Amino acid sequence: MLYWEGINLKSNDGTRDVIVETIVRLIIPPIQLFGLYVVMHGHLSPGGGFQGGVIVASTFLLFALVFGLKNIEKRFKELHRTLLDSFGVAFYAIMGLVCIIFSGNYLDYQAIPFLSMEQMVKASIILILIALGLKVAAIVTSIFVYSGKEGV
Amino acid sequence: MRKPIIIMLIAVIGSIMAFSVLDLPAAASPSSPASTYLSPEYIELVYEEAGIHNIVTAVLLYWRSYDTLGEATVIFAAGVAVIAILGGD
Amino acid sequence: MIAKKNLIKKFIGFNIMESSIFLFFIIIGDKEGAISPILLRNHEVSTLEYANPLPSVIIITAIVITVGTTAIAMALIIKIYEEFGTLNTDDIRGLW
Repeated sequence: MLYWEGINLKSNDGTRDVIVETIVRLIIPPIQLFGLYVVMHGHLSPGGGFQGGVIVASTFLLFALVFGLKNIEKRFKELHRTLLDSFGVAFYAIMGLVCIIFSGNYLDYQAIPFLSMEQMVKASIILILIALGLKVAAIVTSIFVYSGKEGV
Repeated sequence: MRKPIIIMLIAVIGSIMAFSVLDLPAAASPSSPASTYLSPEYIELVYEEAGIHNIVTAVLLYWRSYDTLGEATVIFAAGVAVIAILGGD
Repeated sequence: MIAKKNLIKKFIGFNIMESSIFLFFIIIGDKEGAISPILLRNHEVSTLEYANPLPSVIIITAIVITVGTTAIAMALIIKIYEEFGTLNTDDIRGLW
C-alpha cells in the first residue's frame, strides 16, 4: 500500500511485534475520521474545535509510540506544523478585522452583508471551528514530539 | 517540625470551607442565582440570532468570542514556549 | 503541594486541585430533571428544562489552559533534571 512507503520499521532493539503493528495500521484512519466528524458537526452535537483537534493529535501520538519517533518527521513535517499553527490564530484575528471593515464592532458577525443575518453568523462560526481544530492538532503534536527527544 | 504545622493548617482551612458549604443554595434548584441571571435569555435568543442548535458552542463563539480568541493565544504561546525550551539543534 | 519535597509530587497535587474545581463548577450548573443544553428540533420544550450552559463554557476554557500549564511545567522539569541531576527541592541551589 502506498501509504506505508518509506517508513523504517525496525524498533530500537531490533524486534517487531506483529499484532500491535497490524491493529494500529487498521485503526488510525477511522479515528481520524471520527475526529473530523466531531469538528465539522460542532454546531449540531456536542464537540467543537478544541475537542476534535485533540482527537486527531492522539492518532499521531499512537503512531509515534508504536513505530518510533523518527518516523513522525516523514508524516507530519515540522514546516507544515508551524504553518498550520500560525495561520490558525491569524485567521481568527483577521475575521474580527473583516467585521470592522463593514462598519460593525470587532468580532461582530452580523455586520457582514453577504448572506442574511443568521446564515452569516452560522457560516462564520463553522469556519472558525475548522481553523481551531487544525491549529490544536498541530500544536499538541509538536508538544509530544519535542518532549520525547533524547540527548538535547 | 514541619509536619504538625502543615496538618494544623490543612485542618483550619478545611473547616472554614466545610462551614461555607452549608451556606450555599440547595443543589440543583431552579431558582439559584446561577440559573436565573443570564441563561434564560441566552437560551431564548440563540435560534433567532445565530441559527445554531448547540447552545454551548454558540455562547463560546458568538457572545463570548473575545475570550476564545484569548484562549487560542494562550495555546499558541504555550506551544512556542515548549519549542523554545526543548529546542536544541 | 506544600508538604512534599519532590517536584513531580508537587505538580500532581496541583493537577488534582484543578480537576476538583471543575467538578465544583458542574455541580453549580444543574437543575432537577433537566436535558443537556442542545436545542431539540421538533419538540418544543420550555426554557426552564434545559441545563445551564454557562458553567460548561468556563470549564472548556479552563481545561485548555490547564493543558498549556502542564506542557510548560513538564518542559521546565526536564531541563532542571538535566542541569542538577536531582529532583529534590532541598538540593537544588541555583539562583540563591
